[in-house]
Amino acid sequence: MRKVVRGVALWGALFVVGVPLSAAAQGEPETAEAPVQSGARRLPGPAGEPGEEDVAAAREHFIAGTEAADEGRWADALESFEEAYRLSGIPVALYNAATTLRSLGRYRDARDAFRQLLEDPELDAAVAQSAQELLIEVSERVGEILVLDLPPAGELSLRLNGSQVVDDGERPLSLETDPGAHSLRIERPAFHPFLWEGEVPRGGRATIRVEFEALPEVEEEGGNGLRNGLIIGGVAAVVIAGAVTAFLLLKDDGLQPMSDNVVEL
Amino acid sequence: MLFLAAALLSGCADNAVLELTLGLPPQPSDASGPLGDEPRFAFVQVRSAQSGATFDESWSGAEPFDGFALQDMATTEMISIVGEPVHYEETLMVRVRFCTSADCSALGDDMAPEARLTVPRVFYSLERTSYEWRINEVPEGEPALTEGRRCDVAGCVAGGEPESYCRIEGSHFCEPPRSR
Repeated sequence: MRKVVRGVALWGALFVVGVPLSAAAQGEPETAEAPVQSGARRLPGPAGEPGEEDVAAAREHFIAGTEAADEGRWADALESFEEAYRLSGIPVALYNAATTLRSLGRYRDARDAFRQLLEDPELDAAVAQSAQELLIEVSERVGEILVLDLPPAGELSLRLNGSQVVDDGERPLSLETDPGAHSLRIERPAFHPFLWEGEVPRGGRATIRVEFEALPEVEEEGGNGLRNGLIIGGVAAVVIAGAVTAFLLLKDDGLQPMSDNVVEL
Repeated sequence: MLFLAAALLSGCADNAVLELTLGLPPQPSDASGPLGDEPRFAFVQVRSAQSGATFDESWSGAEPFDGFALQDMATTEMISIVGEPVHYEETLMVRVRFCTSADCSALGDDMAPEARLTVPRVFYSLERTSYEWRINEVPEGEPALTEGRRCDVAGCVAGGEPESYCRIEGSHFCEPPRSR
């Protein structure tokens, strides 16, 4: 496994040589609610020339990130390297963030981070060489979910692993993602939601064929009284069903097995 | 509703689940080979070392499901193994016997070839972990033993596939880091 770049001396040297990054390499800050599949993810850098305080704080984050990476606390390491980069814009922090994303198995984000790093025309040659090699490696590991038979965009709501997906209207819809288990939920007015759960192989593709089942229509005859009665009855049924379901799910038993073949030791 | 909430809270139990992905070999095609051309079933047995089980003896007791019929090509089966606290720190032992009947009770099945797996630790309290074991071919002769590694047991990492599920200091991601 390739290690993160470490050391305060190296930090200092790279900072003097490598910064400031070009504006193109710094990118815009990303919001937490940003939908997936909205193009390349970019790690935000400083808005302008970093001040001394920011540089000092960035150095602390960089050291903390290196220590966290040494201990295998990849999520902590990533947060520290991202913060170091946000404050300083130093390429080595972005490089370490990218390698940490790779260690986390977030190959799509790692690929985008390496690409972002390689946009810097003044990048140290050795760092660029390593980044280029890793870019090729992680790019080959990115997977794809291919969605067939999807109605035109506009009235659909897609959520991949709980996050909103941008439907660009292309058909079939291709969603880049990391290998592993995923869930896709597609909602369409007047239809039951379509739900898929499955595995995306490393560097491979999972193909989904979408089928929607229409919701039953409620009869209008009988006026508001009947409609209100149905609504009240429906709400009551949902509340009771929810309570019963919660009881059945939680009364027992911690985790539930996912497969039909169950061995209880 | 308070009654319901109290009932729910009082019923919460400590367990752990290992989702085992079991890759099975194709049906042996060499009719003249030692396994002949009889259809084979992969009969799966799972034990915890805590039970005192060893591979040197047969494992008695009913199994929860029949053996999986081998196909013309390699197949994959999913098995959920549920452990309780007494099993957490014990070695998991899996035995796959390639029998000629689904419940491994036919004449000669006591001598069926088998593959074995041990993994030192797979369970962590209230965590779902997973492990992949692929058997490429039906063993011939001595049982084939696979010794799985604790750090290959996947779990407790969101959204990725790390190369190892242990920290550099050796602790698994599903357990607290060891103090330095």
